[in-house]
Amino acid sequence: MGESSAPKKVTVEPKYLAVLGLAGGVAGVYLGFLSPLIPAVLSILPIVWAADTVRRIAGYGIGTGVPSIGNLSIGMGVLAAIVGLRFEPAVGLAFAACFGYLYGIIIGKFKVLEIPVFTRCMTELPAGAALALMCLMSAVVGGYSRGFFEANLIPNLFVTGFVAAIFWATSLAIAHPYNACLGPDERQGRTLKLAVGVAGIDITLAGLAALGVAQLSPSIMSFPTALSMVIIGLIVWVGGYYVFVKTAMRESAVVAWTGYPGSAR
Amino acid sequence: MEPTLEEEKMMDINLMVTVLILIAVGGVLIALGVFFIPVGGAPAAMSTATGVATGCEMIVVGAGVTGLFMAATLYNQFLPLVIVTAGVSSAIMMGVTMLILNLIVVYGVGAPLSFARKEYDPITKEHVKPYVTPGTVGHGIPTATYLGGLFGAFLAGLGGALTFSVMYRFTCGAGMAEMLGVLAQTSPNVAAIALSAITAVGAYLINANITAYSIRGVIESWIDPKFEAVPRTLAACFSASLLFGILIVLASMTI
Repeated sequence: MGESSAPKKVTVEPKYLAVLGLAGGVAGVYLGFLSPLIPAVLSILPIVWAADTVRRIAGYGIGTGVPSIGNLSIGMGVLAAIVGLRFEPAVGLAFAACFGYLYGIIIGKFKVLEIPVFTRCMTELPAGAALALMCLMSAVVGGYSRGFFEANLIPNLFVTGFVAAIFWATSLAIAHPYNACLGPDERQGRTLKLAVGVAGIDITLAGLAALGVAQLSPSIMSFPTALSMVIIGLIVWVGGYYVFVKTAMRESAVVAWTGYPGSAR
Repeated sequence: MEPTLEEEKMMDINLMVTVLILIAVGGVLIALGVFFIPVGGAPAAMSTATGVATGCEMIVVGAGVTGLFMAATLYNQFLPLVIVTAGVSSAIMMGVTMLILNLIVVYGVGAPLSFARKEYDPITKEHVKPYVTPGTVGHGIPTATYLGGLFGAFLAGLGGALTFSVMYRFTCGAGMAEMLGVLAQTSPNVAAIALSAITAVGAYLINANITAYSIRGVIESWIDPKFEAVPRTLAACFSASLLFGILIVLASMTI
């Protein structure tokens, strides 16, 4: 992993992914009052953005494995997301970016890790993770609205423990795509297809949590909405993996079968 | 005499600064603890390196969360008692993990416990280096690293419990006396426990990664040359914990 340094040619410019992720995530959180399905679907965009950032930073070889970067992003992101949902989502996003930037500077100053893009990636990662978490956490309890933190989020998401599932599933969705695809032939387009597939798992889990919330407090989450969240998640999951496997099969080398029984010819 | 509004605000700021510093101290304890635990990573899983067969990050979170469980069970006790108990529970967890790993290495893999960094085990004075298989850097967890691992897990448990307890008490609206002493509560506040547990895991992950980047894979407790990186790693952890402590304090305001 150490010798692969600068990122190779990319299918989608990271700039566009960042803009898409920011716009999608912010729109998702703020449009949650229309329907909780909007933040659930739009959470794919920040997840793909964060997965691409993991790809850029882990390409340098950090020596501790790719999942550590995903967990780091989610560790910062969850703090910013809680602050954001408590006060104002835009403030949470700003906090995530600023604190991530300062974290990158601290790591560089104390010479813990010296990677050229670290500070920039550390600004983008927590922002993406915080947006994805804010989208999913607000989607489970029926969309973001003023003062919903104490009334809806704490009793339905935190006390029931659903938050732990969403926390780790989002961490997986951010770390897994590059962790699974890394290697000399890694290609951005293929990795991001897998990211969409794993984001589907995340949405499915959020939908299952929403099913629980629909039973606990029917006033904020209706059963059909929760069920359609699960179905949307399943469609994204299966669709993303289908496209990913198709792409991987098209781009893989042909291996001639020479074993028993007989040759395939 | 009733405290004026100004004085109350002053108290509040004092309390917040105390919380920030205690969270940072907790982060430093966790990071220091990991330097004492023999982390083997993937090579240890194949018995080709000394140490516990998992990455730094998982060990930090494991030791921290064990401390967190104990601290959540003893939510209203005297704070120093809570954190020491949590440290002991974390050391027991790590001790059992390392013992089982040694049993597997000795009776399953059939390799003698050894490390290549030093000629002799500094504690038992045994000659360990000849037992290292050529091409590997050690097997299992010999005495010196085992004791280091116990001590490291104790420190990490202290840190984990300190971080969680301080957050929990702050979320419950405890004053300075309750923060550092006995909490006057007869039943746990589940919402506050859930909120502080998630924020505490976030804080563990932030500190865990600084340590992991500084260790880069494998460390053999206190006999390893990488131990020299301790001061700057701890400084980085202290600053990062102070930084994210601001977010934690904002996230765990009284509910």
